[in-house]
Amino acid sequence: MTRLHTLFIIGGLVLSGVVARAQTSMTVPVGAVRITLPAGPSSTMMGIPIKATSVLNVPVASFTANTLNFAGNPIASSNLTNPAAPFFARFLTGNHAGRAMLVTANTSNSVTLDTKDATSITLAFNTSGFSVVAGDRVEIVPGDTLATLFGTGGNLKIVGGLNNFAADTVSFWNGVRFVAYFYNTSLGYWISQDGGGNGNNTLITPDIGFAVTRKIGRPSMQLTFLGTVPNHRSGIRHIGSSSKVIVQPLPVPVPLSYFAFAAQGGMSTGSTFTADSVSLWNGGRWVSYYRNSSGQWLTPDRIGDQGSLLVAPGTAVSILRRTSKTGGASILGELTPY
Amino acid sequence: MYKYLFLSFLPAAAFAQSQWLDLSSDSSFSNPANWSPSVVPASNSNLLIGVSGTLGFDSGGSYTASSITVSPGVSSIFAPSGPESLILGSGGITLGSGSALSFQLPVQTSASSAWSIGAASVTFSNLFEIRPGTVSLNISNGGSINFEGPSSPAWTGTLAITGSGSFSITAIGFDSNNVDNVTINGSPAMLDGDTLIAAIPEPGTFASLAGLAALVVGVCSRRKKATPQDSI
Repeated sequence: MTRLHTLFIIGGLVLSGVVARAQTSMTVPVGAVRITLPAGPSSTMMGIPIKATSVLNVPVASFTANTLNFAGNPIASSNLTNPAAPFFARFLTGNHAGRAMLVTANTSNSVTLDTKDATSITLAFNTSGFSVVAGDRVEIVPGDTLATLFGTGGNLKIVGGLNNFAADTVSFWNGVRFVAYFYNTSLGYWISQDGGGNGNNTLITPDIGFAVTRKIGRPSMQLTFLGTVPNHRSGIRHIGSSSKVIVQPLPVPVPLSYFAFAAQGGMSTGSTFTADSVSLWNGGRWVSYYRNSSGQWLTPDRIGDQGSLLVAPGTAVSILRRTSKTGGASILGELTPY
Repeated sequence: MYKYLFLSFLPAAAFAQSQWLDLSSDSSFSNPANWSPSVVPASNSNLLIGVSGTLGFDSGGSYTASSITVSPGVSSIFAPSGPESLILGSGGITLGSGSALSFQLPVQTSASSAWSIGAASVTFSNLFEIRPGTVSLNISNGGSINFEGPSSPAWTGTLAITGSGSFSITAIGFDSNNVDNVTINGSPAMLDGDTLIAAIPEPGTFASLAGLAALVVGVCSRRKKATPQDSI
């Protein structure tokens, strides 16, 4: 199986930003996105800005609450559930379009998925008023873990160490704080700052944002992601009453207004204390933006409407939804701008 | 009831003090065993750094300290685990004689404060933002301040440096966004290479310039008088 091709190139290469073959394409939309990590000490909020190439793209024949069945026997692999090489299923059309879930079991003609989407609440495929229908298209894509994306041993892409204060770290938002993982050069595997043993198989969920912290003395570094350009609506579960860190998932810059998620779910407007908000990392802190009742995007850091502020591919974005959401409202989705 | 009203008006110095001793040698801020008293400092504590080495911030977010004091002779490095940052309140920073403090995590001020650097050394290797208010920083002979991190466009406050004797201030990462909000001994600051200096000369420099001017005037005057003789 081919995982997302990720190249880490240290030093100054010529291209920056987006390299995509086309913004409108009826062919297989493939491309590359490059992200620069500044020299240390620095923290970069990022995510995987492009999709792995799918191994299967089929319509749903039938379904249950958490299982999708396909016609024939299209799944050649007997096991899509290896923790070291996980797979995700993503809806490309229908009510659940854009939604990606971990494959927890499979047969040759079905996949069972984690319908919690890394939240505490399931969203079943047969949810009344928001059901999957036969014919909705689904793709199966290889996922990533800390070990597959950032390497291990001699293939380690960032710098390991004996503790999380010396090693470069990759941190994931757990709803309350960022939890740092680092490659322990003594133990020979990735481990959380909270311990817990071998963390090589820690999932890097599609659409999620994370922090890469480079410690002092590390040079600037470029990460190049090769893969497939999304050509479907985004769809990220966010059950509200909390913040979630996601990634700007498209290979082109999008304006801040993209994150109103007008196509699905939607972000509320109001004041700085009542509106849902979108926060961007400035290198040392999150700068928050919210929409007022006139639809203007405002921030304490700048004057005027910031709705046209461009957010680069692969940028992590913190989304605060102030109230809890269920059903279809718990999915945030927006159409591609191309 | 009156007792509680009184407590609400206590100054910053009334916040609890926590002394960093790193007794477990794991450098972890979140390990109570590394502090005296042995509890993780609450937000807005006064931090006293009593031993040299790394103080590793691992809260997974920002930590707000009311003040930071480094004991004489201690060299301390504030290092992040991940994207942690430090917010510094009204208590400011006080460095003991011969001490050194290095911030490898981003630092942001949240209130006006007075910093006493003296003859010690402080280095900001990551993002540094003064917002809002004024940081009044005093430095003395032999002291040094190094701003090595990137410039921040989000400064809304002022850095007012006062100093005497021979001290150095480097600001490798600064651009006009930062420099425009810095004064040295009351004069606007400017960058001379990577060194931050006062744009208007200090009194001592004025005296030197006056002496130089007098010398030039004297030389010119002698030349004027000499001219007739030269023509003979």
